[in-house]
Amino acid sequence: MIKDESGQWILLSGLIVATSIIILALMLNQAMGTGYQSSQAILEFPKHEIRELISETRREVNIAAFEAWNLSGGPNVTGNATKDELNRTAIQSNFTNMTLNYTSSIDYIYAYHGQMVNISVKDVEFFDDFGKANNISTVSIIAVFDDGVTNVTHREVIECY
Amino acid sequence: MNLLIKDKNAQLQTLEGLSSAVLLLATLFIITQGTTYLTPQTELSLDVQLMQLGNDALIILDTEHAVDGILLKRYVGNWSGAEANISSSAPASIDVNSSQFGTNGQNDLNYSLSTILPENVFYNVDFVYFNGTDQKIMNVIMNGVPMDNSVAVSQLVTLHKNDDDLSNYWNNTISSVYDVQVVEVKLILWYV
Repeated sequence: MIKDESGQWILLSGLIVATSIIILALMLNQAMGTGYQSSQAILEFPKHEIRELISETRREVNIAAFEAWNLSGGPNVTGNATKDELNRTAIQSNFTNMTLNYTSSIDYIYAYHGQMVNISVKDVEFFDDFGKANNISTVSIIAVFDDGVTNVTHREVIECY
Repeated sequence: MNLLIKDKNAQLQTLEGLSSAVLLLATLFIITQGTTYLTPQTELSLDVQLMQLGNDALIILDTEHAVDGILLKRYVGNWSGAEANISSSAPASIDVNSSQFGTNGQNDLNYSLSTILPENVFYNVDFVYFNGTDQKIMNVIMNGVPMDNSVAVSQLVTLHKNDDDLSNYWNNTISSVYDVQVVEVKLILWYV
């Protein structure tokens, strides 16, 4: 049988068919795995939650900075205001009040999804130009997100307008 | 030349050459093209599509518009507190006129969402917020009972005491100008 040299065509075509079947099986297997894993990765990674936490904080810090200035009599000051006319301590305390209410409120919303978030407001800087607005110019925040699998710490300096 | 065609030697080598060429071409094809033609074989990809649709709809409404402002925030702020149920799927509780979606004077959040989302997608909307003592989950739009393969997406909205269009409901909930109310707009979607 080893020395029989007939039927080599058939043997070879058999080999080719076998190889193609193996290749097709591998491709199908990959297709199933890829579809499942890519969908799973998108569904499980909390991309939207993290992005939303940061963008909402950015928006809220801006509103709080404006409102704090507003409540401290900002609009009444005209021309070159001095430090005494518009109390930075008052603006900052109003600002802290509002952001504290926001951060404690957002904690509950995320906790309801089984996610832990913590937003801390660090340095609050004011515009140097008193005549302009005498308002908060930048606020640094640290936002922490943790759902047990994904842990993100985001630091940002938010510019207020 | 004639000799070369009629020469019957080394047929196996010729075939080997041919098969190796096919093998090489097939490998090349798999590496370059194969992966890009893969079609997902699981229903999870439908969930991803549905989430994308929902997120997009909420982001469209949450984007600041030159004339309308942030529509989602106005819709939430204008909500009168009336809850939806199976017999009243979208009670007349949000009345905000906008240049993008107009108004139907009933439930304008429902009106906008039905414009943005395709017809074969059904949805419910809940407002979730913490009122200082309790976590509140309020059904605002209830088009049915979500099926097994439904997905939920959400967007946050922060309300302030001196926002425009603020309803009495929120005016009573938000105690002072320093107080804010973070509301999660939860959109639950499923294919029908």
